[in-house]
Amino acid sequence: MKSLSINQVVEMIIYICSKLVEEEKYLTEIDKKIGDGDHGITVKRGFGSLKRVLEKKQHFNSVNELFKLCGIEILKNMGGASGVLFGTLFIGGLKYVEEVNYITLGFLSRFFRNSLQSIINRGRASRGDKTMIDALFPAVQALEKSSKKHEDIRIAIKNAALEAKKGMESTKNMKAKFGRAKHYGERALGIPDPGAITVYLIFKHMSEWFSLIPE
Amino acid sequence: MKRIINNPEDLVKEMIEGVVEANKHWLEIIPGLNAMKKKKIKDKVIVMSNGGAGCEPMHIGYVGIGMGDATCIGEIYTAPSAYTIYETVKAVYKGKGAILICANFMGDYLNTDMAVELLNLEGYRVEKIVVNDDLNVEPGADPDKRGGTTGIIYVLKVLGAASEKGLELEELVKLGNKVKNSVSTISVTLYSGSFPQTGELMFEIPDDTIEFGMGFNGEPGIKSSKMLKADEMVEIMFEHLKKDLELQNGDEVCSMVNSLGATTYMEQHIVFRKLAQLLKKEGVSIYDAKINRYHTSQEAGGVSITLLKLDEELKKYYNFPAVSPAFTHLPHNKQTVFQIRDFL
Repeated sequence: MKSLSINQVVEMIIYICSKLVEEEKYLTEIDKKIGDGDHGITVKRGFGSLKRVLEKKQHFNSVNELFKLCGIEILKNMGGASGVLFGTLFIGGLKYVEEVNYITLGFLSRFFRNSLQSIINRGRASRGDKTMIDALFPAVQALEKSSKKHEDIRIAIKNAALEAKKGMESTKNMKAKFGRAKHYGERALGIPDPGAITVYLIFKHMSEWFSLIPE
Repeated sequence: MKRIINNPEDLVKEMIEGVVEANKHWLEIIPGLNAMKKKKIKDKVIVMSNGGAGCEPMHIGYVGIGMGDATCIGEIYTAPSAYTIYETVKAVYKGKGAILICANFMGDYLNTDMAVELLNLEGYRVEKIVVNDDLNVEPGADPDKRGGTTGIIYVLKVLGAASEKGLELEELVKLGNKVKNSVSTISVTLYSGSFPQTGELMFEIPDDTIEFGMGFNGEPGIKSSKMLKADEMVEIMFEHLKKDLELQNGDEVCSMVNSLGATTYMEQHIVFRKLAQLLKKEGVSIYDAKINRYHTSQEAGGVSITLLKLDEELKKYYNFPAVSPAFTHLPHNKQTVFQIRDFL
């Protein structure tokens, strides 16, 4: 598979949203141990409302327009620092990429590379700080590697999800520098960062969606 | 603590309605948002600040003539969302650019930065100035660790005037950063205020203890001390400000003595008296002194002192008239007097 149409991207995002909403309890449980305990509800609020908006079957002239709407919906409804950072995941890459009406692996890897950089700049965080960056960084590297080798987009996303999972798991051994988690110090050891989990889940469900559609 | 409120969820909305009604000749609500704007805005660069509610009159009190053009307010101690900021700018934009001023707190910074990016994507020319005047860390420590407080008022004051005089976006950004880098604040906190929704205390300080540089929600500051006399407190505060601003004989400053909420007119002036003595001893003259409640933490006990080190350019714009609900300035000298009614 070489590319996805806008409608396919919309379907994929709706699928990811519906799966993320189902993870509310799990995310809340983790966040109770390490943060404010509201990450599950926040994710449900943001991605749940995005799902509702996309299900209204709007017409999009470009993938860029679609991503911008996704980012704005998340900003509007998710709130807090995580609302801004997950909004940046959709919006932060936009100013560096061309306008397209279908997605290729090359586009996706460039888009996510720029989103990652925006999240790093905006959040003033780097790898190893026990944040969403620890899952996104290796996922983006995997996409770039696959893109260079001209791999099938399904395989690329599957690899990215695997790398995101490893990255998410690596946050278990990190001490937090941001948010309420930083006050937990040593007690945060052994627990992964909820933001990193959410990034991993996004890639995991993206990969799952690919396995459900015909070639 | 007893509170005069209606429904706790409506605090911010009802406060904005009250402020706008009291100043209805020149202010109006931006429908659908916790935001307000001047009724009439010249064709100029927009200047506005934003932040959470709870520190009144911060943000809401500084929209007016020669001050901010608009503001949007978040929930109690919560930054307004990037989306709210984005919509507020769109409601007032005049095609010549906009400057968003916020405090250097994670929530404010993130949401303002995001709003700037969204607006830029849509072709609006928007810049931000993140103010970090608060000495909640020692002078010379990482400036990224410093919060923003009353220094924002001086940035609004100078940019409000300069934008009315027709300066371009780039010039205003340069000027705003000059104010930001010339202003410094230090607080002493005696006791906590309470959350307006619940009346519960935000934090606790032992009765015999005071805290220098504490954040307005009780974040740890520079140092704790046993209770001191007013003059001793002001001496400690002044030492920090002097070091941070590198004050020298011959310098000229604007000063602001701000009550954190409960501290009285009487106490504030006892503080100012000592501040004026210390400045005089250093050979620093006070160009203008403001003493009032400008940035509170509800009914917290304590004061903050802000100094703005002036040069001729800053003095020129500072000395323009300003009329806003919580900050008014009448020019000192004839050269810069102009007619307030030109803006009405």
